[in-house]
Amino acid sequence: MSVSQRTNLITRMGLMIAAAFILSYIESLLPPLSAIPGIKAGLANIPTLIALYTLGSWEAAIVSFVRIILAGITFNGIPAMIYSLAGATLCLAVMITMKKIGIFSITAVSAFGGVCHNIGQLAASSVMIGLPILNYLPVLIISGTVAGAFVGIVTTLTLKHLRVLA
Amino acid sequence: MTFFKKQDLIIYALVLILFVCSFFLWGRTTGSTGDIVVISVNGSEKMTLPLNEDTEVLVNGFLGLTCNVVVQNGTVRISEATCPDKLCARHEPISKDGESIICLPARITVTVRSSKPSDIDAIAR
Repeated sequence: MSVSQRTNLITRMGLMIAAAFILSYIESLLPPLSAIPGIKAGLANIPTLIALYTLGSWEAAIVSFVRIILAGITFNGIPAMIYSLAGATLCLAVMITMKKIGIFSITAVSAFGGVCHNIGQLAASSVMIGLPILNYLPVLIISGTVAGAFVGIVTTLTLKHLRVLA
Repeated sequence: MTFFKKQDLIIYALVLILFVCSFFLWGRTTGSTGDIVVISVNGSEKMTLPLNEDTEVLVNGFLGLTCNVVVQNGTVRISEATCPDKLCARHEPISKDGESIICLPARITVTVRSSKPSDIDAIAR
């Protein structure tokens, strides 16, 4: 990789992290949709998906983790950050695998990623808090699918305007 | 550019299976009214209150965050919380066996249980 290519990559990743950070912040300002923790649109996943489809797997993982840590130490709080990290790890593993398989649309990759994010978060919280939290699992599976599909559609449209997709 | 592909149906079918399975993971609400309130912090049981006595308890959770648990007219709710999102305080009052209110940041769970042993509990444990 030449110096200019590396500079190009670092710049694009910085741009994605900045966009994800701002989207996280905007989302934290929105009123909660429900009394159940974890039901949200997941707008910050848009830059992660764009990074996954334009830069690569590792780059997407870095964008996601840096964004979560930044949001955690600035406005989301450390407890929420711990759950997010658990969710993001599972979500990224699944989305990267699905992208490598190569037969699924971005919408499906994002929808299943959303479900896995919620499952990862619940797994982490059930270890730290206790099993009653698993009562939320059915609701969070549905909300993860809907939010993930929405994010996937937005990402598809964005990539079209970035002229990545024909 | 496509939003959906035929192969996506595999994923949505998988989600549906997960959704159905998730219903059996933990003892669901039995639909019958419970009679005790179990309050846990960090996964360990802190106190048990009777549901038919009106009381108010300030529960200390993780990182010094607190939740004010109110038992009133056979229902329990969290009236105030010092956690950042305050989602737990928005939750409607609960009274059925197996229902719970959870404050994620403070790691506090408030669960309604029945002191009478039921078949469902026996299986869940």
